[in-house]
Amino acid sequence: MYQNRRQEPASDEAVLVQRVIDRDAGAFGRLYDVHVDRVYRHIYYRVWNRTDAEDLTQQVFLKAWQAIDRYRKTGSPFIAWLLTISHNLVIDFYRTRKDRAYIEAETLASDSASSPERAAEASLEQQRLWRAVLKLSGDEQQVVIMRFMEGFEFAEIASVLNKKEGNVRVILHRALARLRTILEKERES
Amino acid sequence: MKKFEDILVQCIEDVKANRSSLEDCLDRYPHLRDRLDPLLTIALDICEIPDVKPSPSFKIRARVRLMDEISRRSAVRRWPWSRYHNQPKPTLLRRRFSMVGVVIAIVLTLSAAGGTAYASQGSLPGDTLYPVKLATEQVRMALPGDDLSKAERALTLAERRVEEMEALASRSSADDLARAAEAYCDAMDRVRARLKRAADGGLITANVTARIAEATARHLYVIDAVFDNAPDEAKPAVERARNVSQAGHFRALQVLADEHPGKATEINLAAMEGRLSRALAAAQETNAGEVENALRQFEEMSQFGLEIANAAWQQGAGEEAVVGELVAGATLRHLSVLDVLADQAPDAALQALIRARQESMNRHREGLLAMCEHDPARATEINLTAMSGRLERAKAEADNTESVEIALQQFEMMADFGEAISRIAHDVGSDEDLVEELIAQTTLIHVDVLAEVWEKVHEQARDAIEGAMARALIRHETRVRAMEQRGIALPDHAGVPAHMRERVDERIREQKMWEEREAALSPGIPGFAGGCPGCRR
Repeated sequence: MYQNRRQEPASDEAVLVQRVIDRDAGAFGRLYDVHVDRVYRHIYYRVWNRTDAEDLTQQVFLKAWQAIDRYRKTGSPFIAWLLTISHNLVIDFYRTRKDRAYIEAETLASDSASSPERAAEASLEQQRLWRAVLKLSGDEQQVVIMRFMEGFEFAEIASVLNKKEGNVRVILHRALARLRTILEKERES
Repeated sequence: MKKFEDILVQCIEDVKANRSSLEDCLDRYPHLRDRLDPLLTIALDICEIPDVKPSPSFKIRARVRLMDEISRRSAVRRWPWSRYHNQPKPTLLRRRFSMVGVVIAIVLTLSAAGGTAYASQGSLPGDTLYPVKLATEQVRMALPGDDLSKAERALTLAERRVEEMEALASRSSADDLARAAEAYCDAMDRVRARLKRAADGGLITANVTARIAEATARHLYVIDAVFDNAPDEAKPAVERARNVSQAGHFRALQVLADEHPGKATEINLAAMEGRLSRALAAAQETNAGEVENALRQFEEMSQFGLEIANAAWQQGAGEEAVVGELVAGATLRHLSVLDVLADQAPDAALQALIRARQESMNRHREGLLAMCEHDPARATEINLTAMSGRLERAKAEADNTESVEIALQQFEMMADFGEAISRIAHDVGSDEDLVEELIAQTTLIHVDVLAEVWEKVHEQARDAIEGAMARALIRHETRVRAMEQRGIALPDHAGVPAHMRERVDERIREQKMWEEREAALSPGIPGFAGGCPGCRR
């Protein structure tokens, strides 16, 4: 009794998504297992705080379950859709906390020093770089974080940001150039 | 001609993938060297920023909450509350669940936040200033106070030793780590001795005991992680500390159970979820030994829950029902986590997993039975939610015949529990109509879900589903007839889909024949709702 083994084919995300559309909670749990790390990382790099990242990550999946009928119409990759929800929640997060700057140096420093994530190992130079990244404009910041820190493909970034792949490359180039300027100014000051 | 941004992206990709060095890239485009160099350097520096991952305890906590939320929303929407709009709403149930949730959240959050709480900047064993720290602690312990306050101070020292162990685990000094682990054992001994003297001296120890029970659950969680990272030479000492922590946890709960069984149950259930969390983290590392260890502790804590339930029963005044409801609700969550674990645990841990599942099923039944004399409708509600959860599992695992069959076995066992509750409701004459109608209505939903699952599974799993559908339809029919006699009309079933009707009808005939034969052989004994052995082909 109760013998059990997992026999899940690797490429069954489309099947799982279809089951979720049919309101299958178990299938949704499986998708959660697959994507929770990426969603969390995506949010963490935008709020720089573990508690808020955890809270928002939970909200993303709950909203996804509630709005799954809308996903059916978009046809984008499931992870891209989850990140779109994450992006909107992060915007709301900052909108409802107008007293918070997009990044607070003290928060970044203290969180990175004490959180159990490996951010704790960040060197001062890396912290300086993070702060510079977070001074970029919205799209530039998104592209840099998604490409370099989250490892997304250009096609995936384009899907989330609703842009063409070529445009994403241009944005990345501009972002790096702006980062250079920001870092140079910081060194001079 | 290639655009600059494409060249830039290509160079970044090549360097990241070790296909070429930074210098090679710059040499390939000498006319762009000055523009490329600084941008490439920045891009590659960003790539070096450490990755972040959510903690395993958060992932489990969030998953369980998510599944709870989904199932609660579905259940409320689908259940026939409208007919009973003047009946008490299930607020108590939700309140109890949320109380458990709060405790679990506290334990796991504090545990997960160990990096913050335990990242002490103070001195550690092996540091020059460490003896000064110990001397200061001795002075503090010697300050005036009763035994209860000294027990609390000793607990604070134990907490510090755990902080030190966590900080030392990542260092290479096995001796220092072993010393901190031994000092933890000493501090816990002092806690025990002081608490005993306080109790012997007639002091009220409930609050401190609850604090010890919660703290040791937290210690256990941190010491697990220390054990994983400890050098081999320090592992025996860390293992002793882990045993001391667990023993301290049980002792504190034993004392608390006599005074506040509800509180003791909440803490014990939270600690059990901590063990499941540990098992899951170990499964992700394919560490079968630690999965087994965590599940063994889970079982021990579950067994200990029986002692608490016994203490609640002796207290009377409905305390038994409160504890039963907490346990029955928590086992839903435990079964969900065990499902996740079943998908991830190494083969060597399967037997432990099987025992843990069986243990959860037993506790679920006992929790329901403890509460059903006081509130059979609530017990029915929890059980039907659990049954729906098992069907969801069968649906999610439709391509895995073995998992489907296990989920259906659990579903059938829960159906048995439901029959037992129904009989008790009848005997005590409490909420009988409500119980019968809840079962009748929800059984229809279950039959529909079973039909959905039937469509998705392999042929060899269909026998089990047809048997479950047959028994569910018989349960429904029995309720409809009984309610008709009381002048209450219940909606009839829309019918099994045509293409499976013949097979299900045959199962119904077999089941009824078996029940009649059993009734003739053992008059007056309720039939085994699990069904006739021959009906499961």
